Amino acid sequence: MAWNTTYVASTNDTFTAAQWNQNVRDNLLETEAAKATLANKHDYFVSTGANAITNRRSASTYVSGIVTTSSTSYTDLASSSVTVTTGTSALVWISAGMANSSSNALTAVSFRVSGATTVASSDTWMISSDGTNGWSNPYEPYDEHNRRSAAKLVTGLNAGSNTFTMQGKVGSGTGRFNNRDIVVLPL
Amino acid sequence: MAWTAPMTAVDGNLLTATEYNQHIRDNTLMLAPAIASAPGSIFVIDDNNRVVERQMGSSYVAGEDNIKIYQNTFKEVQQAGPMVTLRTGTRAIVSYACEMKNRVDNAQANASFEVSGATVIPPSNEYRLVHDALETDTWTRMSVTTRVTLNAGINTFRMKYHTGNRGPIHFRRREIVVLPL
Repeated sequence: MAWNTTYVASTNDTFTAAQWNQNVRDNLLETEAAKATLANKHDYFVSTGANAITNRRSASTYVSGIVTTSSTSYTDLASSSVTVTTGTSALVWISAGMANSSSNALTAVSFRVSGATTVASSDTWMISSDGTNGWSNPYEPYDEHNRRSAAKLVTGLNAGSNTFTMQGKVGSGTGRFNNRDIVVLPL
Repeated sequence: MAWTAPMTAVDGNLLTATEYNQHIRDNTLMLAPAIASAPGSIFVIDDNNRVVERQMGSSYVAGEDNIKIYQNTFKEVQQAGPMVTLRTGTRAIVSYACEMKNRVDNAQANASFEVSGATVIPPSNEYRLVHDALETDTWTRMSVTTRVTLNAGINTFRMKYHTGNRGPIHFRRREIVVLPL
């Protein structure tokens, strides 16, 4: 089914069954009310092109536990990924608590995309912490740490099932990450 | 009002008033333009063949406030909030921002939010905003965004605050934005 350019009536025209079926029935079936199903409750509608809409569902993954890395290039942070059906763009928020064993050392989190699309993590959309003391107590996860978010509108996605995975890195020392949260609003 | 699957017409049949009212009038009244009541709304699925309007909300408090001494549980500051009340489904994306500074070296400032109304969620360290800086008297503004699971209905989102192991901590330019789904 697809949307049809709406018929323009003229005086004394007979409105045929075919015209009804194309201009009324088929077009009504392309509307948000026709496409709404209880199974998709709380999904929202977005356009997918000219005269076409579809439902999308937000998703998020939250991990409270601590992970560490000494990698100076982005590496996966365990269990911090979310898979959603997207169009060609998605709004992504990442949040994490970050600390480092060394003073004045960069600790950063970004995300990569896999699945229908492959996009590498980048400093362009990272969150970071620097200029703090190194943690003094290795058993105190909230010592010398900062928690913050960043938003990124990811465009150029291939529509389909895309997975967004948080990754971390450090400038030096060992980075410690907790309370990691990734939220995706597919468009 | 309820949605009816649009009928398939057959040549030679006359369209009755009942058919018009059911298939055109009533179905059209289920569409977003018919139920829209305010600018800036989004539309989400509520049931089979039913969408509902959702309005985003935000609240901002500009003025400076503080917690003078060590406070390890979240509390209100003198200028309450910011807070926003709106109708949600079972999900909302909540983003909040705050500018914070320490009045002593290497102290920690924390902000979070609570939910009340149809849902009760206490402010939590799990999704808090944390500023832990070496510098004294240096303002830093940042935000945190999370997605929460709710009971559908009228929910109020309100920011709250605590210090690290000492105070005073100062807060200003506080804002909370809620996208109900």
